[in-house]
Amino acid sequence: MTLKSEKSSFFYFSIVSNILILFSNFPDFNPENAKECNQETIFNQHLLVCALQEISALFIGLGTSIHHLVGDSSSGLLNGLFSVLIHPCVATRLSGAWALRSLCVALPSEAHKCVERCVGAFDLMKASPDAVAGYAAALAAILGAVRQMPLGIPYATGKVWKMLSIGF
Amino acid sequence: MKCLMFLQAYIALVEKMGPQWLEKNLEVFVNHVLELVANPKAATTHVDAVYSRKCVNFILRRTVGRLLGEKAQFSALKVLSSIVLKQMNSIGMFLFTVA
Repeated sequence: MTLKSEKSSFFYFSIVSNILILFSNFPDFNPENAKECNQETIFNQHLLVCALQEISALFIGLGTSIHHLVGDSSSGLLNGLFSVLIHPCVATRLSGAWALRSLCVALPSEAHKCVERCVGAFDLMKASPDAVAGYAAALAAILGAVRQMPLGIPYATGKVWKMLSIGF
Repeated sequence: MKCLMFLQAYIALVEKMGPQWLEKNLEVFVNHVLELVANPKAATTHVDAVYSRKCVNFILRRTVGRLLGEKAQFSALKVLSSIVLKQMNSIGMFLFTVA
């Protein structure tokens, strides 16, 4: 935006506001796949979104000291975060992806494991569009967080990512 | 506006009762606040749902995030993850991923 002139910025602003007006006039609020899930799932998605947002904030606040909690398999923290990625509602899947991103920023040593698990699940659950969208969101979120990790990710992992995105 | 009123009430209550009380009743409090947002009346329209989520997030941030120490935040994290697991179990999706 800084490279553009003021006039084109105004033009850009009008385009974005038109898009906003267009989409805010849609009357229904239900998710696009409301038929597939029952009413309870639709209302419980808000609960899950709030819980995951708070989990993300706690991850960022606590930093590397969460390692014993993540390593402890009895708490089921990682399993819970990964299971959210196949939820039928979009908002929950995206919050799950954000929570994983926060986990990887707080604990960079987990990033590679998370990526491997996502890629494995991606191949395993190709048939379900929800799962593909969820795992793709998680991969994209972790990839976006690589710049905040001091160690980065291995070169080969990036290649696996690229091959995966070409495959789809 | 309704959201803002209950937000202020909850935060004032918890700040008045203090961190020790919150630590003792953490599970009850977190469960209760999260159930508020799952109530169908909190999400009659899409905009209402967004406001309710923001309010509940703010309550949790102001109470769990600010009042509690590191050790209590760990137990908060455990409580939250058990809530997520319970929810995913209730819609029958958890076992599918682990297998």
